[in-house]
Amino acid sequence: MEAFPFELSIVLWLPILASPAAYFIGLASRKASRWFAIVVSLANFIISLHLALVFWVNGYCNTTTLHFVNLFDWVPSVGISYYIGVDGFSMIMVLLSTILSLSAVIASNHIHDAEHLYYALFLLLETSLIGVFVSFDLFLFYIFWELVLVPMYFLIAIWGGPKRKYAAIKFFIYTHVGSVIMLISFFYVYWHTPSVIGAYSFNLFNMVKTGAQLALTLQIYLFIALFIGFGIKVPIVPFHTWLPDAHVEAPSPISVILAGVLLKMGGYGILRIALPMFPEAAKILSWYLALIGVLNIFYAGFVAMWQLDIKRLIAYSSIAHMGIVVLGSVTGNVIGVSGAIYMMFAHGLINGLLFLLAGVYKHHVHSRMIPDIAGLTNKMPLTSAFLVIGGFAGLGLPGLAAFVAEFLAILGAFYTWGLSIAVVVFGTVLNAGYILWAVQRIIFGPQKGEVEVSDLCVPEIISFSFLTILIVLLGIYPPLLMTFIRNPAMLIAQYLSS
Amino acid sequence: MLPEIPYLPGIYTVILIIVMGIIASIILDKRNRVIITAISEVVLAISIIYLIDLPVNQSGYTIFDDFSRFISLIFIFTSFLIIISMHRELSDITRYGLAISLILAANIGMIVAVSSLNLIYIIVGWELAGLSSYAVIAVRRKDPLAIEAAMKFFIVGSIGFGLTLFGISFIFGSTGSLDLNGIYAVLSTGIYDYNLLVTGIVLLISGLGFKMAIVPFHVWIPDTYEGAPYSITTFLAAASKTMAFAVGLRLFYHGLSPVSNIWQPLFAVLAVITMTYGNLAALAQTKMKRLLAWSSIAHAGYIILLFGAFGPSINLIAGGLFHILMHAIMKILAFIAAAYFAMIIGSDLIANYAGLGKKYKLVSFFLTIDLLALAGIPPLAGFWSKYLLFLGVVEDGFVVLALIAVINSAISLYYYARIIKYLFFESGGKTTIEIKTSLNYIVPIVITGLAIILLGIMPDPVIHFLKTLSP
Repeated sequence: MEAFPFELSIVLWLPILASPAAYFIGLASRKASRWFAIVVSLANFIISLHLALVFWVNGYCNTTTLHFVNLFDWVPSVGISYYIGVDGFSMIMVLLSTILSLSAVIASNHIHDAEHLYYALFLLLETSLIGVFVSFDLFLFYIFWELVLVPMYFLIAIWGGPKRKYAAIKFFIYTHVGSVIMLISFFYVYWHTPSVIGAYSFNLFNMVKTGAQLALTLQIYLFIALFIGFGIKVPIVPFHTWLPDAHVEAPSPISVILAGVLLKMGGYGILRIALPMFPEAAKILSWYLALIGVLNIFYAGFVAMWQLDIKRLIAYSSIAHMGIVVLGSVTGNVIGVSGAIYMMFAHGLINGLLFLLAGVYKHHVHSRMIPDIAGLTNKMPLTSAFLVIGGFAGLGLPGLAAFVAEFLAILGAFYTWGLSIAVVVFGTVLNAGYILWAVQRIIFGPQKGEVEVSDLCVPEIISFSFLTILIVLLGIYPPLLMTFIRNPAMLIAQYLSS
Repeated sequence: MLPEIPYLPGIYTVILIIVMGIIASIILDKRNRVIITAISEVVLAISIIYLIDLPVNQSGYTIFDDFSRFISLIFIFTSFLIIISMHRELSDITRYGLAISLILAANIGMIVAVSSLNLIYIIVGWELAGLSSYAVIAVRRKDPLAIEAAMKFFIVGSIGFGLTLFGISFIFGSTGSLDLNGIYAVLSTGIYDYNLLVTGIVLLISGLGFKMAIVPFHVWIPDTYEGAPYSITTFLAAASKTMAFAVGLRLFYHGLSPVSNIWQPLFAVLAVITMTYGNLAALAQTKMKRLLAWSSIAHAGYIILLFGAFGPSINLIAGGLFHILMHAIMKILAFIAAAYFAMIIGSDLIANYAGLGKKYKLVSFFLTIDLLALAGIPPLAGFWSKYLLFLGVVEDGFVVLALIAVINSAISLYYYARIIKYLFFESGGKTTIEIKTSLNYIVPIVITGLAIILLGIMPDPVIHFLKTLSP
C-alpha cells in the first residue's frame, strides 16, 4: 500500500482551494454550500485516513523520520522552503483536525446567516490548521499559525453570541501578541543559522541544531519567549482569559474547532519546537513548567466548579486538561510525553462532543445555564445520554479515552519527580467533582418550567455517534493511537533526559 | 527578441521615442482624447520593449546599466498604468494632450537622471522631471486645491533643487570632480577638503529629502498629494519618489561610498524619525489620500534604511530596491482604488467607504490585498521586500534600527486595517450613486494587484535579479 504522490499536499490544500467555490456556490444556493463543505471535509477526512492507514500498514510507526515529504525551495535566497511531511505525532494531529472539521461542519446545521461566507471561512480554517501540523519549515509554520487567526476571528465576530466582537478581538490580540513573541525567538535562531548550517535556513531541523548551540542563558530567554507564545494558545494560566470568552461566544461548531484543534497547536508547538530547540533550557526550567501545568489543573478546576454556563464550564475543563498536557510534555520520559500527546487527541474528541452538546441545548432550550436546562432528560433522552458519556469521558473514567492519557501523564510525572507530584491526583479528583456535579444537576435537577423541546436531529446524531465511538475505541484499545505516538514521544523525551 | 536595431548610443533611443509621443500629444491637444491616450500608451509600450532589449552601454556622460534599466522600467510602467486612469479621471479638462505631454516629459527627465554618473546630467534630468510635475498638478486650472498643491510643490521643490545644486557645488569644490567615478577616486585617496564635503553632503541630503519625502522635508507631501488629481498623485508617489531614491543610490552607493561614515549616521537618524512620525501621523488621518501620503512618508523611512544601515550586506541593497519597486506598485493600486471610490461616493473620507466592500467586490478585494501588503503581511510581496530589507539592516549590524522598523511596521497595520474594517464591516455609509464600472480604473488595479500576489508567491526570481544590480 503506497500513498499517492503529493497526497499530503492534497490534504493540506484541498479545503482552501474549495473555499472560494463554497462561497460562490453559496451565493446561488445556501443549501448547496453546506453540502459542498461537508463533501470537501469528508473527502479530506477520507484522504487523511488513507494516509494514516498507509502510515500504519507500512510500519512507518516504527521510525522517527518524516514521511509523505514534499520539499521544494520557495525562496531559497533567504532559506525558506515548502517543506511538509508527517511523523506519527503530526499524523494523528492531522487526523484529529480532519475528524473534528467533519464533525463540526456536519453539526453546523443551525447556522443560517450568510452561510456561503461561513463555509468558505470554515474551509480556510481547516487548511490553516492542518498546515500548522505538517509544516517543517518554520516560516511556513508561522504563516499557517497566523492564518488560523483570520478565519477564526471572523467566525467568532460574525456568528458568535451577544459579546462576540469583544471576544473575537480579545482572542485575536492575545494570540497575536503570543505569536509575535514566538516569532522574535524564531528570528533570533534564524539569524544564527549561517554560523552553524552555513546559510540561512528556516528548516526546523536546522533551526533545532542551531538553537542547541546557543549560550545557555540565551537559550533560557528564547525558550521562555517560545513558551509564552505557545502557552497563550495552550492556554496556560495566567494567559488563559481569552479562552472562556472566545469559547462561550463562538458558535458551537467553532468552539469545537477552538477546543479540539486550536488549543492543540500550543501543545504541538511546545513538543515539536520549543523542547527540541532549547533542550538545556527546558531541562533547567522543567520543574517550573510542571508547576504551571499543575496550577492550570487546580485553578481551572476551582473556577469551573461554580460556573453556571455549561459552555464556560467546559471551557475551564479544557484549561484543566491542557494542564495535564503541559505536565506530561515536560516530564522527559516517554510515558509522560505519550500521555500528553494522547491527551491532546482524546481531549479534542471529548470536548468536541461536549461543545456540540452545549450547542444543542442552546439551540433547543435557548439557554446554556444549568438551572434552565436541568430536568429535561425525559424530553431529550439522546442528548442526555451523550452528555453522560461525554461527561464521564471528560472526568477520566477508565475505559474512555481521557483515562489512558491522564494515567500515562501522571505516571510519567511520578517517574520524574516522585511523590511530590502526587498533588496532581487531587486535581483529577477535582476535575471529576465538577463534571459529575454538573452532569448530576442537568440530568436529575428540577425542571424549571414547561418548555417545548425536541431531541437531536439526524446530522447531530451522526456527528455525535462518530465522536463517541472514537472516544470508546481509544479508551478500550489504546494501541490504536499509541503505535503512532510511541516513537515521536521517545525522540522528544530524549531531548529532555539526555 | 527584436530585429537588429541601430541603437543610438546610451538611452537616446528611448528618449527619442518619448519625444515623438510628446510632439504628437501637443499637436493633438484639445482634439481627440482617445487618440492622444492611444498614442502615448503605444509610445510607452515601445519604450518598455526597448528598455528591456537595450544592451548595457555607456556613451559620453550617460550610462545604461541594469540598474537604470530596472528603475526606468518602474517609471515607464507607472506612467503606462496611470495614463489609463487619467483618461477617465481628467475627462473634464480641455488641455488633455498637454497633461499627457508633461507626464511623458517627466519620464524623460527621470530616465536621464538615473542613467548618468555625471552630477550635471543628474540634476538636469531631475529638474526636467520636477518642472513637468509642478505643471501637471495644476492641470485643472479652476481648482483652487490643485493650484495650492502645485504652488506648494513648486516652491518646496525649487528650494530642494537649489539645495541640491548648492550641495553639488560644494562637493565639486571639495573633490574637483563632477563625475561620480571621479569623486569616488578622489575620496578613496583621502585628499579632499573635509569641511566643504560635509557641507555639501548635508545640503545634498536636504535637497534629496524634499523629493524622497523624508521628515522634516515632508511638509508639502500631504497637501500636494491631496490637492493633485488622483492619477497625478499616483505618479508623484510611485515614479517621482522612485527617482529620488535611485539618484540617492547612485550618489551615495557609488560616488560618496568612501565617506559613508559622514552620511550613514545622518540617514539612520532621519530614517527613524521619518518612519515613526509618518506612521504616527497616519494613525490620525480621516481622508484616504492624506493617509496614503503619510504612509508614503513612513515607507520612505523604511527605504532610506538603505543609506542608514549602509554596509556590505547584499540583502540590504536587494531588499531596498525590491521595496522601492513594491512601494511603487502598492501605491499605484492604493491611489487608483481611492480614485475609483472617490468617483463612486464623491468623497475622500475613509468613513464614507462603509459598506463599499459588498457592492464593489473586485476593487475592494484588491485594495484589501494591497493594504495588507503595505502593512507587510506574509506571503504578499510587500512582506518579502520589507523582510529582505530588514534582514540586510540586521546583517550590517544595526539591530536596533531593524527593531524600530519592525515596531513601526506593526503600528502601521492598525491604520491599514481600519480602512479594511470600513470596507467590509461597517454599514451606513453615504448613499452611493450607481456608476457603470470603469475599466480605466479596474485595469491598473487588477494588474498591480496580481503583481502583488504573484511576486508574493514567487519572489525568488526578482530577488535573484536584484542581487545582481549595483547602483
